[in-house]
This record gives sequence, structure tokens and C-alpha cells, in this order.
Amino acid sequence: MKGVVFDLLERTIVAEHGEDAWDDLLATTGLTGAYTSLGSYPDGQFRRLVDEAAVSFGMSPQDVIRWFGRKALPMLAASYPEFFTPHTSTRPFLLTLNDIIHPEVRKVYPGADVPWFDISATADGALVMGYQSQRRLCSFAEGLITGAADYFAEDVAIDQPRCMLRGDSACALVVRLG
Amino acid sequence: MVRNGTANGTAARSQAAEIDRLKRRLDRERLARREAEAIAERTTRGLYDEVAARTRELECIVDMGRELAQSLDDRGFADLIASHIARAVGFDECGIFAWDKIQDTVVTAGYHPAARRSALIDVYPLDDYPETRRVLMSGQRSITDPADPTADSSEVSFLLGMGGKLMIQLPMNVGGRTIGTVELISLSGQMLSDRQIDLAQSMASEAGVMLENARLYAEVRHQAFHDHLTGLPNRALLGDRMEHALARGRAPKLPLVGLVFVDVDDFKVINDSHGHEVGDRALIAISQRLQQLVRSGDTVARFSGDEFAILIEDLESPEDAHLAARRVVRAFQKPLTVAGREITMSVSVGVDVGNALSTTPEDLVRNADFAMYIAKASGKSQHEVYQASARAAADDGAKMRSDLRGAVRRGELRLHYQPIIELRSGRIRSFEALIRWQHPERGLLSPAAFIPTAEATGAIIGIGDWVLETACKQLRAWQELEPELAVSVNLSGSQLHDGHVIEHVASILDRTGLDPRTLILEMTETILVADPGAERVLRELQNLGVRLAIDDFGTGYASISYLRRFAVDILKIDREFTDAVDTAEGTALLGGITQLGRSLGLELVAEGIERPRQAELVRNAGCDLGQGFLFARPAPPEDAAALLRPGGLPIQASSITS
Repeated sequence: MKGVVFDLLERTIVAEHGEDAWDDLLATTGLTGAYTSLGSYPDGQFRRLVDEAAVSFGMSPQDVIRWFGRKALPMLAASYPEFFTPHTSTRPFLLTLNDIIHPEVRKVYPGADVPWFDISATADGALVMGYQSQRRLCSFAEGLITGAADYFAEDVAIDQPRCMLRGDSACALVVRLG
Repeated sequence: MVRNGTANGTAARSQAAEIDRLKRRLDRERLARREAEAIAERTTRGLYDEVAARTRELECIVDMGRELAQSLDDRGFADLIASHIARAVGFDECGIFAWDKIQDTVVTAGYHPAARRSALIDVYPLDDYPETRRVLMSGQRSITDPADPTADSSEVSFLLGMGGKLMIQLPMNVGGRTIGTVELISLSGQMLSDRQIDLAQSMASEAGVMLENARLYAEVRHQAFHDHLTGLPNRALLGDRMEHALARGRAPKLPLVGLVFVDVDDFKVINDSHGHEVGDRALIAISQRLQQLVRSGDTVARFSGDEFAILIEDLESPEDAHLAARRVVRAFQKPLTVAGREITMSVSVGVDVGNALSTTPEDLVRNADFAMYIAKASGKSQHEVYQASARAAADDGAKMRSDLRGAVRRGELRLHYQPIIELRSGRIRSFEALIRWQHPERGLLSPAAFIPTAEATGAIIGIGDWVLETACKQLRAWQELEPELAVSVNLSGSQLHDGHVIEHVASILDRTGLDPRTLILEMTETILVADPGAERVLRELQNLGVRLAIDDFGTGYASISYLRRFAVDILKIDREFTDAVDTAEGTALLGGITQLGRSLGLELVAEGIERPRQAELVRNAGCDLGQGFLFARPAPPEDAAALLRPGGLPIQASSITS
């Protein structure tokens, strides 16, 4: 996993729970924690940090990931405003994920394994974002989408009729905005 | 001040813990920074390597493109492509094969190393090479490894035949079409990386575009420099080759170059009698026969219409070119088979030879053409070698032609008159009007010097009109003294052919009021025989009442039949007979002619009388009239008029009356 994700996690936890919380997390997991956004680190370290955070914050690991995604998004918006300013609402922003945002991510972080969303719309206008990844980070996606809706000041409801965490072959995130 | 030891101890412990925590945070940050730096370095170096590799690849493509662009018309074009691709990917050998869709083959276009080209044949049928066909049809690369049991056997045997261990076939794709393959052969069995294969593919496609351009360029160039009908080099290419042939070598070893100019005799007849299609086929057959006559280094070109030229380079001696010219003439003495029929034809050939110091391509063409013209004029089916003196004469002719055009207008023509004498009485019966040209630079010219030119250019018509008009006016003036006096004027073939002379004579007779019987029109036998239409014109003239005389009688056909047919009035017996009259045979001959003339009721004039004895013998042979230096040379009208006065003639009739 790219160091940028660990970096974001650190910044999120420090911002919400203080510097000591991150230190404690590293101490209890026994990780060095010298993450740089340019580097790559084993996925297992991310899982251990999330699991440990879940214990200390009294949340489920998926909730931690969801919470992390939602809190991380404004940081991304601050770092990469060019992906956000062209849009005034969440939906067109989400539609640029595959073709614009992720290719740019690959340029900055060579080797980044970003997911590809199989995006479609339902009859009533909801976006269906198909997600399939060995990392099974659909909750992170949910959090980021919710964060994006926050950014554009929209209400959002996300259902997952199918989820890899429940044994499905792929996840389907049904996103209703407005 | 009481210190709370426990509190202090706790604070100290917590401070120590804080310091420890901060130290760990600092270590973490330091570690992160070092790692970030290392990553940045690696990334930069990787990017640099990538850029360098890409740049090298682009340079390979650009270098190839640049070199190819400079040698667009080079025969080794495809060899160049092969060598560039092989060198770019570090492979031993590389072949370029062009796809001939119509023949269903690939043609060997180029190979690197060029010395190994001989190991290949020129054409490979695709039926025998299914894998190559697949590459061409699909536009997908193919790798042949003899160690692979599924490898195509024909490709493997080709590869092994070349002594190779591995072959990569790449399609040459041009704008979505595949035009051929690039085949990379490794002698060691080394494999290329994907990256190298991609580079070779890029170069193959780039080369394909260049190859296609080169083909189009060659096609256009061929069209521009070759004759469409015969496929021979055209005039432009011939000029270019002559230029090069002359430019090779250095003094004093300048190559000797010959140009043989070939013109088909009476080609128009072939076109007229067999049609243009056969005519075209004949030209093709002629071009083939000419090509069989030359060495491979020589150039047979179609110069224009039915004119061909052969450029012979590196002659041993001028005679070789003359021999070649003779061979050409001989070669056409056998009939040509055209469209299943035999066509007999001949060629007239001119040849000129020179080196860079003595000639230019333009001169070679001009001179060989001129020599050809001389060959044609002297009877066709022969060859002629260019001679500068002949050219000088012709150049004179050209100047003469341009001068002659204005001669009448500028009043440079003169008429001189020579009397025709009654041999018995010595009286002047008539004058023959003879033209002279008072040339501004060359002085007084006799008709022999300019009449042939006037005939050839058509100026003779205007000159003839002027002569008739001037002579008739002069006669009218003289008739004031001698009412019976006549004048004779020479008519040319062109004038007789051009019926306009009838109106002109009628108009002059009308204007001058001359008795038509006193105007005599002279012409040679040859003219009468040559022109079937002359008979009608002569009849019309006779209807006007003028008399007709045959000039130089006895030198041509001496045919009795036309003497009757044309109702000739006067025979002027050629000076040849006068010259011979003092021999027994000559006397007999002249006697025969005069008897013939008398029996036809003709007046007889002996020409060329120079001595009194001749005058006597001629008269004795039965000839009543004579003309010659003995009596008077042709003279300007004022001198001629003096002859009419009593005692004007230097020789009196009495002196020849023995």
C-alpha cells in the first residue's frame, strides 16, 4: 500500500485524537511508523493500525476505515484542488475517478494500485459503483464518497447490496445524492 | 519551601517519558526523511534512465529517417533500413521483405549485412511460408525458435538455412496496411526484450512509410523519365545520362561518348497503311530490336515520335560508334514482326562522338540528328557520321533561308538575260531570263546558290512571280524595237505544283498586253515526270497561248510520250550534246534528237555553244537555234538591250556560215 495512505491516516488520527494517539497506536502495534508518502508498505501494517485504532476508539474496524476516508477527503481536496474545483457537486466529481483522478494518482505515485470503478446509474438516478479489489477496502471508498458529499455540501446515502466482505465476488456501492 | 518528592518524581518520570516519546517521534521523522530521499533518488535515476533509453530509441528512428530521406532514390534503400534496425536492437542480421499481394509472394527488398544478401532468393511464395502470411494478414509479430516443437517448419528451415538460431518477424504497418515484414535473425539465439521488440516494431513501421514513399517516388520518377509506350528512357533521362557520361573521368583520360540517332524511314506510311495501333506496336518492336543491339551499360532512349537515340559510353574509339550505327542500319534490313505480320522498314542513322572537352549533350544530339538527316537525304537506310563541314554548309543554309525571305522585298533580286540566236541568220530570237541575287554580303549569287533553298522553303513561289512579272515587263519594253522578240522564263516544280501560276501568268499577259506566243515557259523533264498534277497546269497555261520549252533535254528521261502529251513547243538540248558534237557519236546523237524534234514539229535550241565550230556542227545536225557564251553571256537588261542594236552581237551569223 502506498505511503500516502498511511500518511493520511496519521494526519487524520493526529487531527482528531492528538499526536499522542498516533504514538500510542504505533507503540501498541510495535510498528516503526516512519511512513513517507513516496514509499510503499505492506498492507498488513494498515490492517494492524486500523484494528488497533478500532480497539482504542471503540469502533468496528470498518467504521474506522469509513471514518478515516471521510476525514481524509478534505486533506486530499486541499492538496489537489484541481480535481475538485471544476465541479460544483459530487456526482460529476465521482464520474472523473476512473479517467482523470486515478491516472493522475499513478503519475505521482508510480506503481499505485488504484481501483477501477464500474460506474453505472439506476433508473431512479442513483450511481452504482462496482468495486473489486483484493484489499476489500469498500468501506474506505464509502468514507471518501461521503467526504466528497460533505465537500460539495450534499446529503448522501450509500448502500452496499453486494459486498466482498459478505462473500460476494464484488462490491456494489449504490450512491444516492441530494 | 517544601518539595513534594513524589510529585517531583512523577513529573520527572513523565518528563522523561515525554522526552522519550519526542525522541522516538524525531527518529521516526528522520527515518521517514531518509527513506523519502532514497526513494526520490531512485525515482530520479529511473526517470533519467528511462528518458535516456527513450531518447536513444528516438535517435535510432530519427537517424534512420534522416539517412533514408537522403537516399530516397538509392537502390540500397531497403538495405539501409535493415542495417539501421539490426544495429538499433543489436541483432546480427535483418531482412526487409515487401509483400506482393497480386503474386502472393514476398520479395526480398534489403538485407543487413548486405554481403549476406546472396544467401537469399528474390521471391518467396507465401504458400510456402504460412507464418509470414499470418504476420502480413494479422499485422502481428511472430517469433520463430527452432527449439520450439510447434514452430512453423518452413520458417525454421529458412532460419536454419540462414544459420540463425532465432527469428523475429515484424509487420511493416503503414497507415493501417501491412506492406511487408522485417525479419530479425539472431545467430546466437539471443532474445530481445519487449522494449527492443517495440523499438524494432516502431522502426519497421517508420521504415515502411519511407519504403512506401520511396516506391512512389521511384514510380513517379520512372514516369517522368521514361516513355510510356516503349518503357524506354525518354529525352530528359537521355540528356541526364549524356551529362553524366561526359562528366565522368578526368583529363587526359576523358571518356569518349557516342550518340547514335535513329529515325525510322517513312514511319508515317506504317501508321497510314496499318493504323496507329500497329504503328504503336511497331515502335515497341523497334525499341526491343534496338535494345538487343546494345551493351547493358548503354542507353536506348525514345527521343520523340519515331526517333530513337542510343548513348554509347566509354568508347574505345570513334569507329566503334560508327560500327554501332552500321549495325543498327543492318538490323532493320530484316523485317519486323508486328501483331503477327511482317513489316518491312528501314532506319536512317546519324552518329556523333565526343568527350567533355569537345562536345556537350546538346551538341551531340544536334550533330547526330544532323548526320541522320544527311543519311536520310542521301537515300535512307544508311548511316552517316557527323562532319563539321556539312554542318557549316547547313548553317549557311539556315542563314540563307532567313536572308532569302526578305530578298524580294528588299529588291535584291536581279534578272540577267542571255540571247537565243537563229544560227542561220544570227538574229536574236529570244532571251532567257536568268535570276541572280545581289546578296548584301556575298555579292552576286547564281541560282544554284539559292534556288534549292528557295524551293525548300517555299520562297520560290514569290520569287517565281517576281521573275515572271519582271521578265514580261522587260520584254514589253524591248518589243518596242523588236516586236517578234520572245522571252523565256524558268518554272520550278513548286510553281507548277501550285496552280496559282496560271492566274499570275494570265494577269501579267493581261496587264502588259504581251502576245502570249512571245512568252516561253521553260521547265525540266524531271519536273514533268515527278508531278502528275503538272499536266493540268501546263494545259491551262497553253490555253493562255504561251509556249512551253523543255530545258536540259536529254539528261533525264528523254521520253517521247510526254513530249506529245504536253504538246511541248520547244526542246532545249542539253549542253552535254553540244559538247560532244565534234565526235562522230555525238553528231549522230544530236542528229537523232533533232530529227525526233523536227518530226514532232518542235523548235530546237542547242545549249552551251562556246566555240564557233560547235555552232556550225550543231546547225549542220539540223538545229536552228543556239545559246551559249559564244554569242553572249547572261547580262543585265541594259547590256542585253545593246545586243539588239545592229552589230550588237560580237559574233555575226556570217562567221559561222562556212
